[in-house]
Amino acid sequence: MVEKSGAFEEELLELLPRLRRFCFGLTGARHDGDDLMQMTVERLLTKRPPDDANLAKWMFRVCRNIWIDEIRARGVRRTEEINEDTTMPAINGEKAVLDKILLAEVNAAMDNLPDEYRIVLSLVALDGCSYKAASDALEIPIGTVMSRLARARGALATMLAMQRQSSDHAASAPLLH
Amino acid sequence: MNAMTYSDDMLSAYLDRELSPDEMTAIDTALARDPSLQARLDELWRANDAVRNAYAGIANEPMPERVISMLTPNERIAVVAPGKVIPIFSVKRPTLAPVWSGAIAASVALIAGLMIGVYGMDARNNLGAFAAWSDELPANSPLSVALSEIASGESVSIGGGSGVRVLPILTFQAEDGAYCREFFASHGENGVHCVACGAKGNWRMEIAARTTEHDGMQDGYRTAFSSSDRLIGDFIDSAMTGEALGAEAERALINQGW
Repeated sequence: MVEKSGAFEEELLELLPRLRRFCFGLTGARHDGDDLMQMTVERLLTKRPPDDANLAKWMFRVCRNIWIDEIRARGVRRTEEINEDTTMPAINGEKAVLDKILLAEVNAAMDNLPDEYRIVLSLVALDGCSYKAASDALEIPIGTVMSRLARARGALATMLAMQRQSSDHAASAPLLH
Repeated sequence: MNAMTYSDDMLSAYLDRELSPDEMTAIDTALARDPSLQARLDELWRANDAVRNAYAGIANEPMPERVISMLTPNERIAVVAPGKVIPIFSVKRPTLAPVWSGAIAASVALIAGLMIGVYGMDARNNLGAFAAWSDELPANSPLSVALSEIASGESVSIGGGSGVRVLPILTFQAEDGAYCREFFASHGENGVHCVACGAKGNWRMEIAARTTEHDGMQDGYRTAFSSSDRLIGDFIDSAMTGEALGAEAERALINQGW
């Protein structure tokens, strides 16, 4: 009557925090990221990878596919207000505000990256995947991983610097009467 | 003559330590000699670091329960409030343990106590360790002993002076041949309605639901139906083969040690 808990479900449970962070990096918004995470878990439960598959790689690959095929293709994106209610009390108020500003800045820059760049950056920068592991998961050559990463970081560096400059100018602009 | 310049590809791979040792050393040397190269590396590093910091905060937000419950087997889910499902894990997963408060926490503490054999304040204090539960009840735990020895309809105090009472209600056989017992347990105002199954005195908690209807524990009769009754009732209906055991058959099982 009672089925033993699958090793598959337990392994996936262990991997959830990594998946969640990856989803957050792709979507930039906690609720959207969690929806993507849920869709990924649903897909993995219904279409299980082979027993000898590396579950982490499979998981990232499925997640990437869902994001590209179903979310980006449909143009679905919720706009997240900078003052979104997070239900967590602000213990360190100033840090929380700075964190939100940072997230908004990085999201604005990431949103301007091509999807494939955002995917590789989220996998390597957030998850700490090696180039080989990223190459396997995304089924692209290692050289492509390397160049997309470099271009993503370069583009981000430029955009973040531009954002900083424009906010500096805004701060010092004279008030209009 | 200009020093050799390195592309962003190389600098980026340098950041990730994905170059050969020779290449890493060559870039180390170039960085020491060329401030503009170091400056470019710093830009790439800062962009990468901004990404890491921006998205790191998600780790501090509780995991959505709906996703956790998709990965925990249904037979170990404890419903501790009507319509609200809280999964019980069978292995240690402290980072994923949800946070309860108030009356729900008390019910969880009671279930925890029943399962690990510790009651009252110790069970509450052990809530953080609840994630280390197994659904297998320790063979010599007070609840195990009660399930093995007490007939349906008799209520008993367990756990010394803990104030926990157990009232078995029904015994039936499941499809796989295991025997199952439906029972109520209460501690003060907290009541839980449970089913445990097993053989030879080794019991396993199958399902536990919070109930407010446990006044019937005093005289052995259940009173009004609550939502926990429907939930447990549905579970029993789907698990049971044949009829519930009568008093004599149940007594025989108790005598032979299940």
